[in-house]
Amino acid sequence: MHGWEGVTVEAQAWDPRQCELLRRIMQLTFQCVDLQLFLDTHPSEIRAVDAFRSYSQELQQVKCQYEQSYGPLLSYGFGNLCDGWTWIADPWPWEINWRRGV
Amino acid sequence: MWVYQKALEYPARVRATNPALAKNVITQYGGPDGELGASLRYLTQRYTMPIPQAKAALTDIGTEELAHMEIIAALVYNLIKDASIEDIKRAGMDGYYADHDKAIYFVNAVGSPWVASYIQSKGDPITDITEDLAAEQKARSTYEYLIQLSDDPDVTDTLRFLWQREIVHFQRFGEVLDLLQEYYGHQRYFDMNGWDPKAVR
Repeated sequence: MHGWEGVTVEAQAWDPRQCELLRRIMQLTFQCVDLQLFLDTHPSEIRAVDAFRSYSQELQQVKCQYEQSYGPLLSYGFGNLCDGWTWIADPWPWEINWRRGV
Repeated sequence: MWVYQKALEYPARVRATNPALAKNVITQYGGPDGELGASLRYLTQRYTMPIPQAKAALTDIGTEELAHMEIIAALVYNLIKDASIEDIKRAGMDGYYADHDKAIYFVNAVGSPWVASYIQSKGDPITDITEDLAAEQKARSTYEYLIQLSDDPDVTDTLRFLWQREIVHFQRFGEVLDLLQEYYGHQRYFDMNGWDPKAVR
């Protein structure tokens, strides 16, 4: 997990709380991506299914926390709305320049 | 269908404007062993796969490659967005600029556009997964050359993440190939004399 730890964004660029929640979501999403690929060829590995379930549940929790303040993270009704239509709000993923923390 | 998550798979980082590096990194966007080709190859090969593990692996790896395409685009975008015309000329990126300004387009490191002949979809599952194993190795090699060429430690970190993913995908496709050989029966696969694939399947 070398790349996710201690990663922040430049001050003044974007809301630091939003970016920290997003960083945690990215980390948990990746853990689910990697386990999903493993399970595609090892569907009987119960320990991996349990790990997937646990990461997935934590991802759902952090995602709900994020969406309460910043609106949907996923398109087409898979995310939760907050006030109004925030889907179009910046930053888009390529606009955040992540930095190594101090 | 696909659902977009408004986040990169990995926190892509760029330390400073660097069009010379962008010119090389863009090959993983639209080059012969890049992420566009990888994604489209897997997503189009999955339809003729006979076993569930192969359909799932091609769907999920093909989808992950789309996320990698987005990471490469984010690197290139951030490497060139603040570049001056002088920076662009000095980096030899003026030819690209003439056609695309600072927009992100599917080309390799010397400007040739992506073509569908970079990929194949052959209908023979063993053939297709063997191509995918080679594709992952070619992408891994390309990331190693890009890491050698990179003079931005933050870009290098992101390239290292993508490099690792090629190794994981190679491992998963190796397992899919084993499962396919098991599905068809090993003995037939090593007896190529007069082998009729239609008869086997």
